[in-house]
Amino acid sequence: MNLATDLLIVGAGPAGMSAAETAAALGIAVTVVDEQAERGGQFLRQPPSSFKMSNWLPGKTYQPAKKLLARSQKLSDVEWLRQATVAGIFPKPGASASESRFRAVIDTEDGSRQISARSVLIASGCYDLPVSFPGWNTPGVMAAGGIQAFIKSQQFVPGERILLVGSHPLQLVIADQIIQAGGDVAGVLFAQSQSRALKLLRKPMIVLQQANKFSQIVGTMARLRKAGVKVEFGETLIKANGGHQLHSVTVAPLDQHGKLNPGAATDISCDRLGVCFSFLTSSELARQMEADCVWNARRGGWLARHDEWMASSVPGLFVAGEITGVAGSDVAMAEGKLAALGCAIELGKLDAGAAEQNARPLRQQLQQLRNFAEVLSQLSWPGDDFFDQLMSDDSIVCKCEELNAGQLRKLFADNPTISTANSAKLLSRAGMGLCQGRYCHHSLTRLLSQMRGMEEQQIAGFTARFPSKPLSIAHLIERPSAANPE
Amino acid sequence: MPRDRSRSIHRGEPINLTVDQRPVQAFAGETLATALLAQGISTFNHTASGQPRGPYCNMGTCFECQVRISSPSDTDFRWVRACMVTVREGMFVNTGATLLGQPPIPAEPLGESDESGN
Repeated sequence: MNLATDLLIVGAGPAGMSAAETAAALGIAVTVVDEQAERGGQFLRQPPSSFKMSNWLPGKTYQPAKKLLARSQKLSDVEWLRQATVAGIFPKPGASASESRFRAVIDTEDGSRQISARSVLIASGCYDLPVSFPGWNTPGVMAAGGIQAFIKSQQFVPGERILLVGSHPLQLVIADQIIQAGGDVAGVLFAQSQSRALKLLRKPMIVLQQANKFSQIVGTMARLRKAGVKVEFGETLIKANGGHQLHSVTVAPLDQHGKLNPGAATDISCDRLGVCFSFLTSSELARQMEADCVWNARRGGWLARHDEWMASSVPGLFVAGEITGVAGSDVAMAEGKLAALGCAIELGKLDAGAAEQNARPLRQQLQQLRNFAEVLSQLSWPGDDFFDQLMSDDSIVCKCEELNAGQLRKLFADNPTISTANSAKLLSRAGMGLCQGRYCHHSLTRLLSQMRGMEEQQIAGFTARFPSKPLSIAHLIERPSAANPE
Repeated sequence: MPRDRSRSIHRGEPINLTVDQRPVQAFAGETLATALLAQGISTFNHTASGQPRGPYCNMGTCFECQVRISSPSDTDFRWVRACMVTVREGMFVNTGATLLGQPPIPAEPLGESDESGN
């Protein structure tokens, strides 16, 4: 393993693979670190090489990224570290672009390693928005993306009867993939009304530019209807039922103002629930380095600010993909390329004129794609208040420290000076568990902002600290001596 | 109830695990989360207050699917995210343990095992 590299890329998904390809072609030494066993990110969760199969992810939307994946598997001069977690990245203050400006601590099964890098690209993607409602931690309830990952990568349908509830059109794709894999879908429920979902069609330019995406959604709907899958609008979940194993989900309709009507609740039996409302960016490493971020719940929570070359506010630190605002793999691939060009200028591998020439078509493409992503996120977002209705007092908010909304509301009522996520954490322990606040910070922020009448941005986030994920102290101490760069 | 998962594709070679003192067969390349769910196991651990927990994100961020494992060559049980670990021959798995507040369950059946298959 190289202990020093020009460009350290965190994440081997579409953004990271795309940046690695472009940077390597420009003579930049690249190391890519990813937590999964195979590259491709969540979008292309690959089956293990021991599985023999021919028809993996046949859909049209996957093809550009699959081509990139095939090319990236032939990149001989890029170093790929698999099943490795970047626990922290430390900028060296005052270092110039010709020196190593960063030191990264990387945890693997065999212990931790350090790598120094002149530039860093964070392309760490996103995860499903955790939504707090009664019973959401019952075994059997999952993030819809987790169900999809079982099918994509493990070729395994994790349940006899799967219900999908949310507001994001991705759940149609997942329902279709469950059916194609031989599973049974109990229904797909959208919180928003159908008329709201169809508002997109009033923007003809965007529809025309992204015609293939629309025809795909229409095709998916038709296949689901043919398979007899119930797709409902204006309906959502109230609670998940079952002690050690989910057996049903209580659902209820919403009126045209988006208000839940629990009086009309019914139970749907299922042994697996997929929750599919939105996403949160994996922004911890960027925030650890104090890169400027802005809060936008609808686009993924903390989004890293960047310039036209995808450079963040931290010198030498680039960002690409979902961390700039959740927008999917096409945006991620274009941003990854742009970041690699920006990095090449900084490292003196490419002059600004040539980079600009390469960047122009990417920027045009990105403008269209980002417009589409913005409209899609508006339609997919059920509204900030929507989540407050689900979060009744008996809903767990912090699953690690086992705190429910009622306990937190009481604590915050008794302590009126608490008005930031960090102070709420110190008071309540919310966010101190193994997931390090990833699964409670959105709900906690909603709760505090509602109680205090403050903007979510003002509540701020939990401070992101080393290590980004829990690691064993033995891994930090028993470091093989050869891996110490200094 | 165990789920049939070899319907459409050829999975890897059979891998033998011991899950809660019971022999379980999985296939090479599968994650521990897949192998356990396929056996109908839904509770992977218990929280400090005794609540059952199982896989949620399936991508290594939520830590809900933690289980305790050991291998013939490494007899100390340790916590891992079941969604991030690939099954290995001879692996011992202990589901349903409590995350905090309870001493580790002694790794009894490991004494006679050899070093092979890791």
